[in-house]
Amino acid sequence: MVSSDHLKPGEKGKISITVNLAGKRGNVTKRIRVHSNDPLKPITILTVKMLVKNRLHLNKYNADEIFSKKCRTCHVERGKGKSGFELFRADCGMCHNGRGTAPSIMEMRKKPAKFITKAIREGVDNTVMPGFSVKNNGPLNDPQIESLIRLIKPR
Amino acid sequence: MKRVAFILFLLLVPVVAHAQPSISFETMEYDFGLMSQDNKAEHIFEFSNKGDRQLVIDKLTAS
Repeated sequence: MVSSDHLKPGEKGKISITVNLAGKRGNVTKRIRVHSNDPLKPITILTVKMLVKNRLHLNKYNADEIFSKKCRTCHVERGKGKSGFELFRADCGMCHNGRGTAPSIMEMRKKPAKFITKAIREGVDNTVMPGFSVKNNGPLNDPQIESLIRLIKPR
Repeated sequence: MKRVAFILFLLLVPVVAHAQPSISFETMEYDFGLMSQDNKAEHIFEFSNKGDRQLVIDKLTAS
């Protein structure tokens, strides 16, 4: 969908893309070709990509298993070198998305900072929340964990 | 003769390039990261007309 198909010089427009993920799995890439009267770029290709996961697999595993070899593509590699919201999206968002399985950012914000810190570092007993700190064999270093705490509990 | 034609061509390029629409996107790629099957992926791409003629979007096609 395009906001306006006639743009004066300097004018801005928006193109919104919606991909329905029902029934999709794995790496999904969608390309949208924008045809315009720009003589140098008559066609612009916009790309959106995503990894679609079936959420059901979560409950089958123990917390620490998500850092194992078979799970690390999703649960370790994606968060490498990231911090703050980017890191949250890569490493936490698959569960902490406000759709049931785990508390969302807003729900976690209500808890004391100490609890949040301990949960991220050491995990939460009897749940699938693992300890993410390097000390607990997790993938996140202290600055990364610090950035998550600041995201969840902004000062 | 060829050289003259080439120089003329070079002189014409900026003139022609000037009076035309120019589509310009801030980003042309977006990675949603991990998504679950039960939601929709929605993203908005922003663009602008950096040229000096009206820009017309003819159509969008998906693949």
